[in-house]
Amino acid sequence: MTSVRAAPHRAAFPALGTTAVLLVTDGAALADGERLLRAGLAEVDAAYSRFRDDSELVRLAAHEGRATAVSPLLAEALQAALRAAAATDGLVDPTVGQAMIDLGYDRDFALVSAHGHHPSGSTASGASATDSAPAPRPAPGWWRVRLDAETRQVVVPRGVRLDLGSTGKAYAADRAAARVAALGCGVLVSLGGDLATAGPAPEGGWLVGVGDDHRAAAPGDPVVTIRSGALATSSVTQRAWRRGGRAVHHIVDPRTGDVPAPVWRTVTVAARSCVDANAAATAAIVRGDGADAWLDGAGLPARLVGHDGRVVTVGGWRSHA
Amino acid sequence: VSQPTDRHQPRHVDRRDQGMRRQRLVTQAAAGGATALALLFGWVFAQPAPAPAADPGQQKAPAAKKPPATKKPAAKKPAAGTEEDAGLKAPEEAPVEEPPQEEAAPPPDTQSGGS
Repeated sequence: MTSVRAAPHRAAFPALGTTAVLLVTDGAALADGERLLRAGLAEVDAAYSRFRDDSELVRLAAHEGRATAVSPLLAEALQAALRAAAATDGLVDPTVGQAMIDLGYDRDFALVSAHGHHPSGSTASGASATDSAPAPRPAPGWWRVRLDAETRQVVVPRGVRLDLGSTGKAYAADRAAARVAALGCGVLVSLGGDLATAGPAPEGGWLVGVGDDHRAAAPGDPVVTIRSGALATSSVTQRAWRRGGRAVHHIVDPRTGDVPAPVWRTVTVAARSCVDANAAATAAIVRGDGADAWLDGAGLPARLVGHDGRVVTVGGWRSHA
Repeated sequence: VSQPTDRHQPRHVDRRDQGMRRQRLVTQAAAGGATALALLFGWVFAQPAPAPAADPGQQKAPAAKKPPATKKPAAKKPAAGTEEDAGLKAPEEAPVEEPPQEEAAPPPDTQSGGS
């Protein structure tokens, strides 16, 4: 006789321009957990949204070139971003903000895609999406950003625009999972498909579908079991639009300021934390050729899907394919 | 009758003084020029290398041969974090794919994918 697996208790709501999902092993903790998650994500949005004029990150631009004290949350998110940049040899770089704007990603993507793939045909700055885009330029470089984690003083050089998008959401997932787990239950927090777990896993582990889109599984998408740590997926199939007569997306190669060469379509990585998993997945998309060997060498279990549909698993990812 | 003059020294002494003054001027000008050149070279070589963003060789979109990743100067300390937590950490357990189900399998708890 096989035991019936009890599904975890679930809450989902829109947040940070994507979907937030909370799973808990104890139904009694769901309401409090959701309240903690919503509050935490509101803090994150106020601290480092790129699209809110009143966010701390946007206001930080007015102090460029000068040491400025920032909130503990922004300091921690910046520290996570800079650490991810160092660990990926600069392939995931928070100084790609201007490159993102040059590619046309200058507002919340919900607005960008409200009228088609860049449906309004214009960027927030008024330039037509089909206008000739500015020539891509390499990111200034993450090491130019100075952060003293103890005093929370940060110096952003003149002309450097920060974008914590890649690691910011993952850091928010790690932070929220730890907070909700303090209620005394097992927790999984997913923000747009980047998920972090904390506390004891449910019997049989967390069942997670893996694919191109976090909103819906496609036929043939595998389901994996994880019991701890985190899982993140980067994909060029989402948040894509047209710019200057060509298809572009939200993943930028800091070395060029442009979209990376099309080698991997979707990369899913498991790691100890969601920040690490997200950084590795994004770095793999940017790295292109050789990313599978790089992930394997780092001991990170990963599943890579090429633009031609081939699937490669490395780092101990146990596949049935 | 010779007229009295105010010349106190013979003419050849006067010429010698003029020559010495001229030589002193040349020496001072040469020293000044050398100093200016030294300062100029010092200033030129003290300039930092151009930032990647200003490198005109990198302004075109992805070339066949990619430049190296933007790396921080090796001599500088990392801006954040410590050496021991610098790398990406592997999970305690790797994900395990569920075997393909012939019958209707329970749906996953959630989905990981691009967003």
